[in-house]
Amino acid sequence: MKQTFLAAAAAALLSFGAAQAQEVGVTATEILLGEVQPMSGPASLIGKAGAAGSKLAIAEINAAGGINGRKLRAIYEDDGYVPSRSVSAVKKLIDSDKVFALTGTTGSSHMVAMLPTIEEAKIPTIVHMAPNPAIVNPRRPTVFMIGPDYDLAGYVPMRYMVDKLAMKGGKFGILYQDDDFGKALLAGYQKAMKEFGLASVAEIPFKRGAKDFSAEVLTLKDKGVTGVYLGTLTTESAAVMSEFRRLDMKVTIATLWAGQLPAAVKLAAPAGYPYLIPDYYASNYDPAGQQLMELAKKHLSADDYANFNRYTVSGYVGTKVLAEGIKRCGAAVTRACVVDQLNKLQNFGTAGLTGPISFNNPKAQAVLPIKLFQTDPASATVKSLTDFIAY
Amino acid sequence: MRSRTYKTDVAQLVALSDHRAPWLWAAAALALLALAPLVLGAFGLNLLITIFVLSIGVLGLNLLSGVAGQISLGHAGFLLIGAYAQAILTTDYKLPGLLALLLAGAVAALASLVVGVPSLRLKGLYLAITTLAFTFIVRHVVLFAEGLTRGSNGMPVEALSVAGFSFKGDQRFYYAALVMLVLAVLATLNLMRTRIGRAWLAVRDHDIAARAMGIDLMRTKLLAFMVSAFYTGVAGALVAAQTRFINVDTFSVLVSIEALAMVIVGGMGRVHGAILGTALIVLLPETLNLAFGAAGDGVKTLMADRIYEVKGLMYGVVILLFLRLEPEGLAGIWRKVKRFWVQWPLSQ
Repeated sequence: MKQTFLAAAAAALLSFGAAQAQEVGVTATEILLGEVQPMSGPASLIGKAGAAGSKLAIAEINAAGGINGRKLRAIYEDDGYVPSRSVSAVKKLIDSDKVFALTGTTGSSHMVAMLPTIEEAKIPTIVHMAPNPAIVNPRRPTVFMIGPDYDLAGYVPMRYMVDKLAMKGGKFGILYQDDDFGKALLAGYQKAMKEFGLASVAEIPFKRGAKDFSAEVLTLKDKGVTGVYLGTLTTESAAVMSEFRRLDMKVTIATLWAGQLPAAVKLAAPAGYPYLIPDYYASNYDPAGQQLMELAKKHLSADDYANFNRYTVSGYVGTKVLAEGIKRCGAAVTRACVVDQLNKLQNFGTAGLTGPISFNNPKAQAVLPIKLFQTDPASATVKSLTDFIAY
Repeated sequence: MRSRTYKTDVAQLVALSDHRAPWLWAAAALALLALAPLVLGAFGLNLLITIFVLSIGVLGLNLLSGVAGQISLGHAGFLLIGAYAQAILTTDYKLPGLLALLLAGAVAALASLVVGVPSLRLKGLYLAITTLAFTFIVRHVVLFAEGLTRGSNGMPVEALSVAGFSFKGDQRFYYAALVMLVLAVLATLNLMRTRIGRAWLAVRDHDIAARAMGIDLMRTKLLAFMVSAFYTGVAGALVAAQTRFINVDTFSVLVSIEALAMVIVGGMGRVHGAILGTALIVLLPETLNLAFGAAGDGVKTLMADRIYEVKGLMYGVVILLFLRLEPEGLAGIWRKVKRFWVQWPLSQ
């Protein structure tokens, strides 16, 4: 009897010790994740889609029994796309909600604002929505970034214009936002100009928040531009294309990945230009994207499903990558172990949603191959022109 | 039961409070706040820091709109100027944090002349639109002055330091923000009893009558703008030192509207109202989170997809309810509660 009691006491002590040693955000049955996303305001189009992707990955993983017996759960914090609120939100997730890891981290300047808090907490973090080079330069030991540098977004479509659209003799121009992001696009564009000996006749910067591009478009027309790169976002791209149409310009247009958002495609459709879009995530119209949408129909609410776009793919992939890191740790899930496993990640497959993902490089940045898409204004859809290609 | 006292000399007349009780309550509140870092985590502290810092700006806006009667929708602009001044002075010019903080307030105060001068001829909605335009102008200037502000890339900000002591980290910065708020409250309470403070009240109540009584309207209004902008500039500098990174997105026009909501919900013209209003607006989203959490899984599931819209709606509803049911705001409720307590058992 005495022996039984002692054994029970020892077992109780051991289990107490194990519970005490449990990592923050990890229980015997659950692992808690956190995301900071713009869920309200104009950027909610991005945040809600990103969160839907994360919810989808979590639902899929949990439906299959979770990770080594533990279910995933995530808390989504809204930052309204305001950097100071991002900082407050990430502090809440880490300090109050006590999440184990972060899987979604809003826009680039917001992420830069959150970095000191993330570094201090040494929390595993996957950045998959805004691959700002400043995030991984210098390397932050617990931060992993999915996505190529912005300059490839400027390079790939210009190269395609030369290689496949026989535009080597054309006149080229670019509209770019006058900041680091825009300058990276310009660098990619200029690289293509130099590499293929192309004539760049107009490189026009614009200020963030600009709405009226009539003067810029007039300059492009005056310079006789036949191929143009728009470093603009959704509504701005539509406004520029509408100006092109008003001036009846015959021009081949390329823009960056945000151009494949269904809302952007629909906004630009009336202008009638089938524009080129480079992206490192599959589109809604790719077989892999379609398959994911089927899965989304099964696991997500109607509202979340309605938000589906490339950022849903982004959120899904980001969470799946983190889940892989957790899975490789087995039963003993700790932040240090997950960071270690993510550091070793090589050629992680996402069933055609992206190219293979590897973090085993000095920056821990998965520089993904890029696929080129083109819009069809008549049906307001997107078709793929190439497969994922590494440049 | 406490009774009101008759003032028999000038010292009694100019005393901040005619009873010892308010001082004791204030000391108790300060002691509690001083102990808060021992029990609160980073998030709780961050919320309190936000309340302290924004309260300083709202005290400034309250002086302008609540005390001097000059409506402003441009305080996001002053906040932005203060934040960028702090960032530039500490990061690029390596100035000591406290000096930079005061200079940030001074820069905002100088910039306020841009809207202060038109305010001499404008009133009400016209003044509101002018001040709103000021915010747009400031945002554009920041975006275009890339050499100084790094444009839309934003700026890193050095941690606040005074005489070599760094306020890096939530706990240290918490005390810095608390001290700044206490200083701002004391300065405001004293300012409101000075000649200029009483002149602001006179201008608010009837500017023509005030002029007839010998108040220099130009000087009074300009001073109101400058003092208010100084407070807001200092608040902006503290926002920058708190987040350690700024860009124009942090200071949208909505910030000015929120600040005005804080003044209205708190109670126009009341110092404690400004702090209570700020606390309510800052804590409202967290309170709603708790309320939805406590409502159970059913409500949570029902709200899962609409929670952010519902929160935005509730935010508006609370402000509307205050305007409709308690126009004097939280300061009015505070006054009623206090009167009930002081006059008990004779209170009605």
